[in-house]
Amino acid sequence: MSTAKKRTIKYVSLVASLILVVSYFSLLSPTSAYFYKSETQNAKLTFAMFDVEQTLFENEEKLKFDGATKLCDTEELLFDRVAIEKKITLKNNGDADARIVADITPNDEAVNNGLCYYVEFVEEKVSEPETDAPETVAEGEETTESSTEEVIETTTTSAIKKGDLKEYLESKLNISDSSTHDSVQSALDNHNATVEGSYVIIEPGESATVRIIFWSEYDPVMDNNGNEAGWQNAGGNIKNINYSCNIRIVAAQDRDEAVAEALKEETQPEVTTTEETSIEETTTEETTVQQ
Amino acid sequence: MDKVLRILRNAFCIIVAGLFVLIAVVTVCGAKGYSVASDSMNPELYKGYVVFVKETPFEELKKGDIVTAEFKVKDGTTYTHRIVSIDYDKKEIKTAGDKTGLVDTESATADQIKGKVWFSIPLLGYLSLWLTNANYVAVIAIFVLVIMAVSFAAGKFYKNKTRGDKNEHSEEKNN
Repeated sequence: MSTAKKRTIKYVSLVASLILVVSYFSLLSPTSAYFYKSETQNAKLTFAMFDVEQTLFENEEKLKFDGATKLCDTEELLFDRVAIEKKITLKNNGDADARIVADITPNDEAVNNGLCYYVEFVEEKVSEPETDAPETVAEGEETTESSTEEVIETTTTSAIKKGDLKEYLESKLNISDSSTHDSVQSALDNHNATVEGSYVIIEPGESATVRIIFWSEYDPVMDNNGNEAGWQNAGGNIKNINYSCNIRIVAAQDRDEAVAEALKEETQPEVTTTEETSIEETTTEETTVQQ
Repeated sequence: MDKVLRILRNAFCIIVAGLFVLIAVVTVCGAKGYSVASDSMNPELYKGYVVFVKETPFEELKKGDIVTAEFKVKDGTTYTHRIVSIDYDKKEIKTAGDKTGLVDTESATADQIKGKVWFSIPLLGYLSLWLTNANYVAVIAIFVLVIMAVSFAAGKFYKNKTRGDKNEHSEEKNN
């Protein structure tokens, strides 16, 4: 076979192969696609705030009382300007349940000198318009998307006037013998331990209030201060008595491990907030009482 | 220059011949090629890859295999993802793309499965993907015409050169 013929055959074969190859790869069907109608889409959330700061509210309160009262003495006018009610309201603007834990720690001197407190959670179901919140969180998943969880809180402090909460507290506390300080204190301790050992869950859009009522109990004050004269200054006015107490409200994911971790954190000296939140700390306000 | 052209020409021939043989082999083995159109299987498969898929009996499929399956809507479109769970009794599989790991909303039954990915080659899939885009079709058409024109011109040049060399050679011989 001549060289020219060989060359021609070679050339024709090459062209034919080229056409075949190009045609084959040109006509391939596409495959592989994103489904993205999965019900687990957007299920990844970042609890970013809780990763960084888990203490919502931390304050060492300096509680000032004008005098002491005697809770166990039903003849005594209770809360005669000697009780302070503190309300810390938390609202869940995030997309996942938040577990709120309260931790109140009066300092030892305050306890010995008659500081008492009563704490409770008050849940408020608030109807919020539906948002584009993602659906259920898959266990242990995280996303790199920006966080949408936040729990904001407001605080109010008010001084309680005469008899405002007498019946309320007596109905709330299971007091075996209301005539003695020890039984009242025992009931208080049991109640507070139960509340602080538990938690409230705030679902997205809901609010909860931690309500703490502080007062100064008469008998311990007297034991430590000797006599009533110690309550009065030279002008006969009631002296103030000051107590220190640490209040800490912690928010965490609704899991035991998250809460335990949050409570382990060292206390912060100042009140912590998120970027988009503000704490409204009102000045002491007087509650009008009708006697 | 001639040497360079010769090397390029030979390389081109080898590539074309190699691809021809590849197509022959996969066709004889009953495999079918698909061009990967998205990155849902990163890093295993990227957009532009060609996957060659062989029909495989359902019983031989296992978790971790990459399969190509037809969508339930049965419009001819397919997806290629990894099996994350398989029910041999129901003959049903659940798949997920490697990139996100999210399980696909649709499970696939045995009749939807085109086969298991045998092997893949990068880049060759772009041709078919581009041809679905009108802009790219125009570019490719122009490119082909240019290649044809260059080849024709080069052929003419080579032919004239050869004829010229032959004439010179016969003149020298006569002299």
